[in-house]
Amino acid sequence: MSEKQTFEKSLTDLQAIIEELESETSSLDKMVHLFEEGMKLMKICRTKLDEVENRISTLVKENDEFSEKPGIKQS
Amino acid sequence: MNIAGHSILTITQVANQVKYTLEKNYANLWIQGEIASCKPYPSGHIYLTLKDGQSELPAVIFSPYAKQLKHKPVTGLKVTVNGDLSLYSPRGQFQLQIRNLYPTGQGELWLAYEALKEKLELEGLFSQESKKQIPRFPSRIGIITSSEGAVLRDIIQVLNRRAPHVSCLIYPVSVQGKYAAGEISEAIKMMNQYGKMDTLIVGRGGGSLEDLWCFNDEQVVRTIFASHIPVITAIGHETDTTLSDYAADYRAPTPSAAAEIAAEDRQETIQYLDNISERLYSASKQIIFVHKEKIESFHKRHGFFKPHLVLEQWDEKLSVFNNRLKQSIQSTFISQKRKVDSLQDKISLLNPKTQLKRGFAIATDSKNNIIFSPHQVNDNDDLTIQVARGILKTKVIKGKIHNV
Repeated sequence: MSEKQTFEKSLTDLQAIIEELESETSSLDKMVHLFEEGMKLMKICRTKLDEVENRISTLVKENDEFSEKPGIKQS
Repeated sequence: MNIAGHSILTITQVANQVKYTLEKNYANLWIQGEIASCKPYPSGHIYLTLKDGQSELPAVIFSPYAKQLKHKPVTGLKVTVNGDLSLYSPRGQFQLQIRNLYPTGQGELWLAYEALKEKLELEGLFSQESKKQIPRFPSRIGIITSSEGAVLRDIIQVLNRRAPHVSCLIYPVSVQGKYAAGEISEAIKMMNQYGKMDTLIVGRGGGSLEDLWCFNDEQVVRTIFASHIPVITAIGHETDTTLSDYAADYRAPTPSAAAEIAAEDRQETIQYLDNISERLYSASKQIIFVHKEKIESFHKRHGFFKPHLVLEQWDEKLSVFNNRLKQSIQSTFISQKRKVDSLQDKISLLNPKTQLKRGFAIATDSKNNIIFSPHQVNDNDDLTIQVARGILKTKVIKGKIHNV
């Protein structure tokens, strides 16, 4: 899974898949492909919904480089 | 009218000319003074008198402007006002029509505020078309605010309750003082550069006009407008509207409201996913159903492509052939049998013994030659005559030839 596959992106992709499926023009092969892709995205979304670890972090800049530190840090 | 070379005016003509001159030459004034009296009318207009040590100036705030006032005019308040001079013709009284009114001291700030607002508005920084959609289902929200104070606490509390799956990346900044504007715009730029966020919340709690002023900073406003990540602002109280609020993609009245806008409730998200999941299944099912129907109708039309049907058809053909074969064999047999029978009849007819049975006789000489004609024999020759049940020994008495 790429870094880009965020929850929102997965949902947008899912929406696109559903719309294509519901247009009823898809071939069987394509349908199977779309369905599998849809299920994969669905799993990504559901997994993300269950993620509650490392939720809050602070962006800290040290020597011109950013790093994320867990929790709330003073500026 | 003209009398003795003087043009005579009506009252209304004078009033109109004065009104025209006032409005032309005394437009968009900024005036400082003290409110001597102030009377709001049921119509929504507010009538007041402004004064300094020597003079008084009657003024009116028409209801559309009165509604938008950020500060209530009260008697005794020192104010800076912005408006145009005009004439109230029915009473022949000139008056200031006020568009904006600020307590003095803040007047300069507001003057700058109005000027900047007008400039940025013209540039399109506040246009509705350039507003970005706030994602309903973010995975990470960037928060730019003070690391201390209620704003951060409120936002995190709401997110914890509503959307515990959404993570937060905090960029702590000062939200007041001379470094605030620089830090805030730097933070927005950095968050954009760092990426990995769906939404930014820029927040600050309530405070004095001066406290909130960094959010009217041109650089901050421009950075908010330029942000690729959608920005929600939650600055001050609901009644305070900063230029940052105008430039933001969404203006939340409070930090808690900002958090609610920023992330859909987890339960609702799950419901939404369930709904999508169901649609995924039913749409796929529908496609399978359509294809299945197609295949079935195809089968009906081109059934001979099915091997077992081909076999059945051949089987049928074969059994027809078989029957025909059987029939033809049988009929051949019967006709052959008939032939044989008739031949047998013929043969039995040809059997000499059969002829004997019918009363015919065969005559032979002593050498056993069958006698067909009288000249084969002489008189007194011995003959043997064979009849059905035995033989007769005789002698020839006389022969006579028949012409047959």
